[in-house]
Amino acid sequence: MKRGIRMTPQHLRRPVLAAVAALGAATLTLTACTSGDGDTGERVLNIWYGFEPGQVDAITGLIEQWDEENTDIRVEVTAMGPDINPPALLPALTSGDGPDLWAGDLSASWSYINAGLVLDLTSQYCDNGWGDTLPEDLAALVSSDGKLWAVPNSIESTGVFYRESIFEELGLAIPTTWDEFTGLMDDLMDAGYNTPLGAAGQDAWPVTQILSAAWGGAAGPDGIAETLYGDGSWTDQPFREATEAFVALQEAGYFGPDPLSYTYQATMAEFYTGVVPMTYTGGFVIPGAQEDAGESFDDIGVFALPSPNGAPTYANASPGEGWYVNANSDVADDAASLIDYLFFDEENRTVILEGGLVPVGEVALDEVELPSVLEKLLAEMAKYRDNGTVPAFIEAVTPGSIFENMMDGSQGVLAGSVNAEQLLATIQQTWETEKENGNTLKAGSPPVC
Amino acid sequence: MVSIASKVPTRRGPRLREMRRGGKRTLTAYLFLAPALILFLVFVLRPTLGLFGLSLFEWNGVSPTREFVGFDNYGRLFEDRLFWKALGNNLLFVLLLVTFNLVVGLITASALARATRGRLIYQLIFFLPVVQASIVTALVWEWIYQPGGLINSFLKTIGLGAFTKGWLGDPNTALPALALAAAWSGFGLAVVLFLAGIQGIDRSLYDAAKVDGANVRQTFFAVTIPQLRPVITVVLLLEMIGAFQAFDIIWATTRGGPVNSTEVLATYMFKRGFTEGQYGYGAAIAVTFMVIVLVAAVISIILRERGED
Repeated sequence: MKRGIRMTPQHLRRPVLAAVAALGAATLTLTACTSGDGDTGERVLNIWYGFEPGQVDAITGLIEQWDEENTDIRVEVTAMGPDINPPALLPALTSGDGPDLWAGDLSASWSYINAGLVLDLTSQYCDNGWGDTLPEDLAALVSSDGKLWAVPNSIESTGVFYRESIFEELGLAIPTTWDEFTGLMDDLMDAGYNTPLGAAGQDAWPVTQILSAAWGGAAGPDGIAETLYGDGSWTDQPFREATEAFVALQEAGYFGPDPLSYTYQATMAEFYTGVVPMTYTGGFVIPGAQEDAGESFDDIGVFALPSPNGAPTYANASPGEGWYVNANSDVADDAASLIDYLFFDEENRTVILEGGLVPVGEVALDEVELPSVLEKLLAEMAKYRDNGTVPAFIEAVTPGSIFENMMDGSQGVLAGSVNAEQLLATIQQTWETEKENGNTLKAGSPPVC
Repeated sequence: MVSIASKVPTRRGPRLREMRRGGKRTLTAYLFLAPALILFLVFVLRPTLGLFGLSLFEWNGVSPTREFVGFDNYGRLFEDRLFWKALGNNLLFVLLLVTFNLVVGLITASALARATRGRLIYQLIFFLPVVQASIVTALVWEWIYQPGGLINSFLKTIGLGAFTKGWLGDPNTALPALALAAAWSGFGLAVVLFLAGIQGIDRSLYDAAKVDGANVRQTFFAVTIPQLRPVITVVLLLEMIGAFQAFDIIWATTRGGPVNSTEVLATYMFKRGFTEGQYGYGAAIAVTFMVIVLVAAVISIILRERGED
């Protein structure tokens, strides 16, 4: 710029624009780096959980009630589905912005516990007498080194759900042995049902429940415990027999001509409309089924899957999810108080039961009006409880990678590309790696007061 | 008295003024680039370097300690059968999607360029899937592909019931089916870009072709395609990168199943990293993924540059 030349707007334009650009860049960077959560000083209890449609009502109603009774704190509930929960939960917890209370998978939560992100609930367990309600074996599942880390929210059982009217029409009896079970499916196919047992292969996880049940029925409680906590192997004879029986179901066409094309929703829709006479599922479906099945709801019956290798039929049960408190929460005491309110207050346990979820511990079934299907499921499990109880979901007591193997393997069986030996070999290989890395469950003991 | 210095021009004067002017222009340019550069450094380069660093460790995502394993995670990749299957699926997915969008997009744009009425309406219709949320696209196509869905119902209606199948349940058709769904959601962008390119072609070239006796097909290949080469390269690049990064539509429908037939690098990385808590290995997959896409993009750009030369 020459001296003596007057500065015109044109001369000023470039420097001004450059300055604006630089200011904008600085502002953007500062804004990105600055977090503002607008802290107003109000106490808020953040809860994350995701249940089956319908299950939310039983719990959310009680939470709202607690919220109204506790005016010094406000509850914010975020429904987080099981697919989103683990991936979103981890960065939330480690960044310090996570929920104060969440419902999580039991097997996936040990890494959070080991990292010190979960509150030790032993003092609440002891002070509030939770041990009077929570059975020791369930408490042991969520405890380590004498400390309680979570409260299981419910007990889930699985079974073969069937349409009573179809069975009545065809004169079919409830099977008590594996041969009777396969014979029953032959009869259904002869009667024109090309899918005697609905299997939602596209989603894979429903099929793993049949596999879990077959394993439990063949190995029994001792065999399962030996594999989970001892020196047993997933390739041992009972598991082989069970998996071969599972593969044979597919080879016989009992899952229908195209099981891999059906989602869980589509399978249940066909079950409710009677297109598919049977499906394997669990109590978690009941609250939603009351609305989805409509008039067909009371036509649903339940029977336990017979053992594939002639062993006694066992009851099955697994904790649904565990409720965990964030170790870094500012409202941890309130979170523990809410857990106490939800799962250890007798009146509220009845509300949960009437909503279709079975809370842990003893429940006075006679005094409660249960949904008909839940009543049938509980009665069926009670029939076989004296034989022993096996896990309803193997994935509840094994690392996440085992569940991935089960889903991939089940789909492989349905596609005809994986046999029993290959499925079990993959699972055993993964199991050995997880065991080596310390990711498998230890045979725990209840918390120590 | 007049100062001699002010009267006698120096040889350095103009050059220095030129240098100063040039320097100011350069500074101004850098200041304008600064916002984008800062955003790139903070939100792209830094996390990328962090990701590479993470890939050298074994970490479950929560433990306060991480075990340094060097390049072991990369070694594991080479032996991981599922990684190679996911890569193969990804390449096939890219090929199908890009081919569909390039060919169908170009043909559609050419047809639209000839349309005298309703061009804007058609553009809007074709572009609508582009702005639709990918999860909505996934749910819609899942419904279409169901055994009792739209496609099978249509086939039965026209007497082709023998061809009905569970499109997402068959390992042989699941990936092409999802590629088609993804292509449908993105081909509108290709149409819009091609149409803009075609409208920018000098009309006199078409007139000259007409004079030379070229028919529609000859004009298309001899005039339209060569003139659209820069646009084709841009569309190819955008579609290829988008196809490589496919995740939503697969995760919302098949999650990589059945039997890993729709497993792509993004879903595989998600499973290993987030679902199974193998963050170091997941990071190694992500870094390898990034390198693959980068190489593909660079090759594409080099081919374009050579084509222009």
